[in-house]
Amino acid sequence: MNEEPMTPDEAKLSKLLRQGCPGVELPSGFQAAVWRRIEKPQGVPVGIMQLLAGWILRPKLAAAGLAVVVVLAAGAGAIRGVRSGEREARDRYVSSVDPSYSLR
Amino acid sequence: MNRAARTIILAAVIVLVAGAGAYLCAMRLCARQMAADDLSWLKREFRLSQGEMSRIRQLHDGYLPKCREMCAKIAAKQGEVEKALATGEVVDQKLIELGMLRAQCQAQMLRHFQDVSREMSPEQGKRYLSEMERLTLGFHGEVERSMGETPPSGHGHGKG
Repeated sequence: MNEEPMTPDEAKLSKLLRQGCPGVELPSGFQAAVWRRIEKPQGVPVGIMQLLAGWILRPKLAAAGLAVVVVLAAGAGAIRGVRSGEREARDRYVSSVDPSYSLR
Repeated sequence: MNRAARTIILAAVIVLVAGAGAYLCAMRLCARQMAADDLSWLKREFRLSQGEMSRIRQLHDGYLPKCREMCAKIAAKQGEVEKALATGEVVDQKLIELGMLRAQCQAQMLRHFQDVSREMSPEQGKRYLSEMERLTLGFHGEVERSMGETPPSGHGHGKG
């Protein structure tokens, strides 16, 4: 039976497996099974949570997202502030000339 | 809870806190800027020039001590009325005096509005006068007008 030559990665794994269980004869196909286990998660679809967490953990994307939220929130706050400030300013003037106005 | 969920929750909290902080800070800053002093609204609303503003500021500063004096007189007279009511005295004369003081106060305020309106352009002055009458004297007018309407109880004045 012709055995194919090991790639450098396979040789490294084989060495690691032998070091992990010194003095124990590894069953045939053990290394191939380990490779299959290592490769398997790559084919499994990633959940939405992992996808989101992965996106959030990218510094540039996270900083940009945060900046957008802060700018939008500040804009909304400014609009609200101008509206409420306009009324506050009017009430302040009217109360200064007619003190009974603030008691209504 | 796995690591991904913890990361998402932490990120959501950070975004929420930063967003709420930005919203509140911007709101307070803008509101404060809009109501910087007693006359800020007047300047913006009636598009006053620097010259108009400085003349109106003088009128305003001159009016405030008179207004405070009138308020003190009304408060003192109100105190007299309450005292008289508590002791069972006849309060008719004091009530008339209180009413007179209130009327004088309103007349003085109206004169001030007219003085201020004359410092503005005719169009803005007219708008200012009508707005101030609505906001100050208009309130009392509304209350008094509502007295003439017949309430559901059937007890009304001025009709029927």
